Amino acid sequence: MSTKGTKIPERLKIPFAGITPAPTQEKGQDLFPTGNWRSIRPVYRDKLPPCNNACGTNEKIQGYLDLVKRGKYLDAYALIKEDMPFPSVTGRVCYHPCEQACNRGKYDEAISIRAVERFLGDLGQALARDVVKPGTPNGKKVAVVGSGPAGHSAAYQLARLGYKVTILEKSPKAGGLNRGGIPDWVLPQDVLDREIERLVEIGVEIKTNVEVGKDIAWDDLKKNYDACVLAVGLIDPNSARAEGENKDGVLYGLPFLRDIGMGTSKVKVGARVAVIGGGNTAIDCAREALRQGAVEVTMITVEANPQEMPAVPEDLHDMTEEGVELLHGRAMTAVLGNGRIEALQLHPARFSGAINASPINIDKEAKPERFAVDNVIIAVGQRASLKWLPDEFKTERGTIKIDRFGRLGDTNFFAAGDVVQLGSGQPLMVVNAVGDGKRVAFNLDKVMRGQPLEPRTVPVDVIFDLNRMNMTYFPHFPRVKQALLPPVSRRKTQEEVIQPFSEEQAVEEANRCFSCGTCNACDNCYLVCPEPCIVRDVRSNGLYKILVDYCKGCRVCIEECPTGCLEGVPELDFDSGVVRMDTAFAVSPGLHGRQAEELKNLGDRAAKNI
Amino acid sequence: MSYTELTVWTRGIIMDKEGRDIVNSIAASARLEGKHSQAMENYVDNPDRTNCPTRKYCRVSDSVIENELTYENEQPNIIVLVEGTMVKGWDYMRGMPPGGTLVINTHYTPEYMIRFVPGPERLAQLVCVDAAKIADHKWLYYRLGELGLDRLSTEGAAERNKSIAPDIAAPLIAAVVKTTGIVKMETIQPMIANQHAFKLALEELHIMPLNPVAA
Amino acid sequence: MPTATEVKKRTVRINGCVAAAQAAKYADVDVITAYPIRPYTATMMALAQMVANGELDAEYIVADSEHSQLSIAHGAASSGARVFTGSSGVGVQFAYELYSPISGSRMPVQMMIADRTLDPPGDFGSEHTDALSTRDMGWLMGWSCDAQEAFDNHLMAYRIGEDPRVLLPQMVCQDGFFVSHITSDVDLPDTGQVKEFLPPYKHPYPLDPRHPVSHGPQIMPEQGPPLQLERARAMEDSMAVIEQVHDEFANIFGRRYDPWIEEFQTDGADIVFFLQGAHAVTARFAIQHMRDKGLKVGLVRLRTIRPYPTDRVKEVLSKFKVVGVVETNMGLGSVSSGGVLYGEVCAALYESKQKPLVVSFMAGMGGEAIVLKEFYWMAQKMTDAQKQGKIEKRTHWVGFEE
Repeated sequence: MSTKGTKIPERLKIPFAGITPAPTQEKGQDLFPTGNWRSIRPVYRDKLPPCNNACGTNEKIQGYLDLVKRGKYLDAYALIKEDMPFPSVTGRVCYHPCEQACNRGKYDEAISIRAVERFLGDLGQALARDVVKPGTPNGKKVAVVGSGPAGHSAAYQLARLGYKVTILEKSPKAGGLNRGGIPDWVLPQDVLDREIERLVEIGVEIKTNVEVGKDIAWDDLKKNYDACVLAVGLIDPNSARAEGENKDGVLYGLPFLRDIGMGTSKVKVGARVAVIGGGNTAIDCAREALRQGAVEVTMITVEANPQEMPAVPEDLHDMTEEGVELLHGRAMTAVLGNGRIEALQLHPARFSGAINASPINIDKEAKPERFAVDNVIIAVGQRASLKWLPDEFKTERGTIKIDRFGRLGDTNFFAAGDVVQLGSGQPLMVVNAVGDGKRVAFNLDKVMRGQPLEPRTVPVDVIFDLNRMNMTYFPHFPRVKQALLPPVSRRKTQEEVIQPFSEEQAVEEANRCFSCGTCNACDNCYLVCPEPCIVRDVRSNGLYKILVDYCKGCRVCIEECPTGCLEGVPELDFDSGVVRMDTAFAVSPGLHGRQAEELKNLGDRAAKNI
Repeated sequence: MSYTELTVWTRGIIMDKEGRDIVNSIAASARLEGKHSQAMENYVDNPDRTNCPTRKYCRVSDSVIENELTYENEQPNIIVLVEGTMVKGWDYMRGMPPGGTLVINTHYTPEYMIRFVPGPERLAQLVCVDAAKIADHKWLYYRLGELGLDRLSTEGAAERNKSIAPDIAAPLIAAVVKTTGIVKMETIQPMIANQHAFKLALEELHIMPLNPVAA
Repeated sequence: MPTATEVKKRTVRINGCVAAAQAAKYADVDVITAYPIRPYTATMMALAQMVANGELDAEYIVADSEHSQLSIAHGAASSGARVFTGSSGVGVQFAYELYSPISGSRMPVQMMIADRTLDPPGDFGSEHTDALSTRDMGWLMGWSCDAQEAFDNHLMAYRIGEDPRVLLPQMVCQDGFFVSHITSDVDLPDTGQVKEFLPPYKHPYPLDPRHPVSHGPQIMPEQGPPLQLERARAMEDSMAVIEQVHDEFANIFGRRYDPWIEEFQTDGADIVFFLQGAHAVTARFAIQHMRDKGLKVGLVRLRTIRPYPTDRVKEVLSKFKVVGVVETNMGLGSVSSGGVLYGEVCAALYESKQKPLVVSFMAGMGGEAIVLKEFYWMAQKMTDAQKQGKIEKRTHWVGFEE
């Protein structure tokens, strides 16, 4: 009997016939925590998508597109409302810097973000009660001067923060440039009315026909309110500095549009209309003129060709479709006529330096052209009307002097919108004004609560490079286009030119979103992991857990992440997160002995009936 | 009689040759100097798996090595980690007698790396050398496809490149020999293929002295 | 048949696997069949590289299993090719069907066996059971204890096996890891020396369309005994050839091996270790230390186990009082409830007038290295047995007993 008297030491004990317990997904294979194989650890790091970054008010565009994809329209609408008070407006009027920045544009065609926002905005308008509630009242009163985009946005955010907000609007109807600068066939009146209703629903008081400097003085503002936001905009039109500008029949762009928008217009345009200017206001004027009855409309620009014009290309295209002619490289030097305009005198002209940002050189030696018109609309920019503002707060440029937080010196007055953005290098857009109004509201709130104002210094990683994502998972799909009214019928009506998306179209377009740099729970990493050591914990917009005890750092998940959210970080940057094994082959001596013990308990579990 | 055990921890396939070069060259140099030496790989570490940890052993002795057939170095005096992250994953210090040396290939400094070393009181010195940069290796931590000088899984039976230490092993050998004197520099230097990296490494060592052992 | 490129003799530092590959190269084999299994794989890879870079001109066939590997080897040898193949562990047993046919059809195929424990579970370490389980199949078989001996054994095996008086296949065995993967100095000869030692292979009845013959037809049971008798005769005749070849080897290469038994410090020894394979290396150190302390102990290493040198074993072992058979193999349910060597040692000693006590030790199982302490423990057991005049039990399990 050779085995008589033999004894196996504890550390060498092996389970019966070498059988070992089976691995499970939670515990993995206890024997080999292979996490220590890796030198790179995959980490989920959300980066900023370029659309969120480019938006003037940093809407969470990727976020709401993702929600639309999944049919959660209400949540998407609520997400927009965090940063943008009137998506049904911007869904129609915005010049969509987000779409310019959209990475899909480098791949096939940019996402039609504005159209999706319009879809959500209109959906929100249809709700009986809005998703936004006013904040807990804090007893402080704030006046917002101006009910344009900046003022509306500031009032909205302040009401959500609990302030008692009063908007002072000088025109008979609220809305600012939204009402008076944007034509009805872009933004119908009732859409805007509904948005303003929403503002009133959260407790904002709107006083129209109240003008600061006339009905209410600067000191009254200081006395009656704890703080004030000046969002007065640029309401005075610039002159073209031509002779005879004061003749009858000479119109200015913004007042022309504003009177029509407010319903107070008494203008009847003639058959032939010229528009001076190459910007977006000029385009709106030209197209409005058509709808007001003009037969021939010509746009006269100093810019030498359409590409140099600061206007949005789509609007320019829609305008030429409607039959507006373009005349480039000329400036208007005189208005000809006897008390009433009969013709324009044009001279060749060029910008002396940067387009639209330098003085115009007019070639006075050249032979002037005579251009016969019934009306001319001058749309060469606006300036602020600040007679009521104390001089210490005025800049040389004619805007309000603010620090980088939008604050007037040490006072509780803040300014936002076009009135401070003129000449800052930022294009003057509704969305930029909204963003400005929002940031100023938050700064105001901090000042009211005695907190210090800090500039944003966090470096933000914005994904611009398609190589940081994985394009294999994105087949090419063309952009879903919004239908347009036929050009011929457009000039006869104030109906909206651009048609909305249906629900299917919105979802189809949202589906094209790459979700740049942000995890959207596509499950790719979960599926490709060879171990597998990615666990789906809570699936709300994708929370995955990587079992660092087992991840070998093979980098398949990092390579296959379509959004580029997963990054590889050197393992040595982390202090912990690795099970240290005693040898290369086993966790510790005596492990087999422990497994032998575990196996003894296996017998207690009853076998399932197969 | 002086008996030294050297254990090299490396990763299978992509750095396997580096590990072998270190132990083989040191063992061969020791023999040329008239000492007894032995170089072998750990037998149970399957080296056929990319990135898996494997060990190579070397023993140098003035007298005959009687434990020639034992599988592992029970008491390693010198440990070399060919890949820096290995400092976190295993108890390579197991069995080290006081006065040992740890050499790591990494761009981090020894002051940073010491936090990962288990039981550092047995170390007389911690040496860090950025072998990948010194040897100008195209090996980037981020692209696995660039790794692998040899990429043959033949356990040394067949090699693509028959020269000794043409790549990152050269700075590591320089580090070991300079800081421990296990063999003489003049014996081992002629064997090394990448002379430039070898010489450069002698300047660029980061040595952190720890607990010296009383002579 | 083209010869291998001319090389001069030199000393290299290689392990047993590469040494076997070198031997195959020097022997200028014609066909190599291979199937990977660790530790034999290193030989397979070394040969592949040699064939790939033109050092060796041979047909290299990777089979789809060990069974196919040996089948192909059989076919190749039948056509007159010098064949080299090899395996380890369970691979050796997978090819089992072929062992008897190959030896019975007198094909001198050479198989390099790098030992590995049999499953279950998976264990690379060296145990001799894999080759030993085929010991009755009619192959010449013997163990080497280092790389030099492995190289020499491979060359001698071809010479012995291909000798017209023998024509038997050979298993040249070495311990996995201890010999196969540890490097040591190996003197490689001149090709001229090898040419002198090893003539080209010529089978009397190869499969040749010009002189057609049939191999391995169906026979009647009465024709069975003559065939088996001839196979036995071949195995017995090989003993003289083995001794002659070892002589020739010593004359040409300058290294002399006793074909059957290596004795180490057995002069005046009372107790001896009896073993085969690499553990002799550590045993020699242990014996040296024990001798320094005054213990009269020695080592008897068996170099060839098939054909078994019964008379020689009897003659040598009868000199001692106690023989400790170190079994690095499993013979479950065997005569000693331990390994397989014990039974053969006892049978060899049966007719001896002075029978020593024979005890066996299960040591180095699973490929564990036998450390010096264990040799001392075994020696103690043998000394105790010598004192008490009887053994405690036939088989001790080293490391699991007091």
